[in-house]
Amino acid sequence: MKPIDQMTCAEAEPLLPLVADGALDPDSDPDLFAHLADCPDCQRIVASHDLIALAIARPNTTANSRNPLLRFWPLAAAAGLALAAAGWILTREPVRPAGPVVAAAPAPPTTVIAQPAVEAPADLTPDVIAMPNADGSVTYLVRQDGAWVHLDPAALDGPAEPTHGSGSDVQVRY
Amino acid sequence: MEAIAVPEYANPDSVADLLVREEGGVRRVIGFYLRDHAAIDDVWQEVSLRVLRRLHTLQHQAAVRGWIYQIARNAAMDWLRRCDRSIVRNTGEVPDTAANGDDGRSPGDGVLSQERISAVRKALDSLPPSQREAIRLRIEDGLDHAAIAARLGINRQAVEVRLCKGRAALRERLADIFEGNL
Repeated sequence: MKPIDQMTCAEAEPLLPLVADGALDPDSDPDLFAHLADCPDCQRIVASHDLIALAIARPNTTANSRNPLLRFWPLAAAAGLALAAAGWILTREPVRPAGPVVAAAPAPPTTVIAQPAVEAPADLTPDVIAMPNADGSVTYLVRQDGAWVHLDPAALDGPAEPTHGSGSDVQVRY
Repeated sequence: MEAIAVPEYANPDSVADLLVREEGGVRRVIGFYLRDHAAIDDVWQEVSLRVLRRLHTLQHQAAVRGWIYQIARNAAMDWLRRCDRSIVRNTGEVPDTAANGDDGRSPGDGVLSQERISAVRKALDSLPPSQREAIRLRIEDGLDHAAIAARLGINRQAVEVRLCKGRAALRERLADIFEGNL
């Protein structure tokens, strides 16, 4: 039987990358490991392989850590998302005049008064028309299911006002 | 307590003798990984404990020295990994310089410095793509040879050849950096 310490460095060296890889161990190759136990040169080579692998496995954090903007990118991303969400919420509904928010309030009383004589172009279809009256009040018409219905402003908590102009011109807000 | 597979080490005195006899060689192996004497002491203690705990798994007395060498190597690498994780966790940075070891360096310094990391990554990038991919899957992703073979659509032998050649090439390109200080 071949003595287990008979392996030479020349025989061992091609196998050392596999030792570093974990593909060989003392059970699978006792001759090689017996050589390794006694050979500082081969131990140094295995250590070199091991340390290179450790460097490859190391997370590359330094570049990010030195740039504050990159270091705190998760916080910046969260802030960006929050701003985007806030912007979406603020722009998805028209801003009401100052006053308490009407939430889930019953629909104001409306009366169907007319069918539109002329349909507005599809891309310019108004949804609200404000008509000033002689006494200074304003009549609001709201488009619902193709018909214009009268909206009673008193049913709203806050005074509704036309957005532009005065007199007899009918102001349309798009 | 589990039975000792190698009867020679059933006697605690014989185990103590074994550790005394192997201490110098084990410390030399650890010294290829760590420079700090206190760290080497710590790892030697860990190796002693692992030998005592696992001696019952040893099947052949003739293999004991190679077995202890492997334990020493694994313990040193475990120590470096713990050190590495601790530094990154505490500071978020890879230390460029550190100076608390016996020779003015931290135990992990020299292995973990940014210069070495950069050199290793540069050397890795210079490998042929087939070897580089195999090494990345093995070391960075932790895949075994069978999984790498499946991923790359090649057989296991081809994976081992690529890993072996790639590691040898890396060592050759980085010898000045790593083995010069070992």
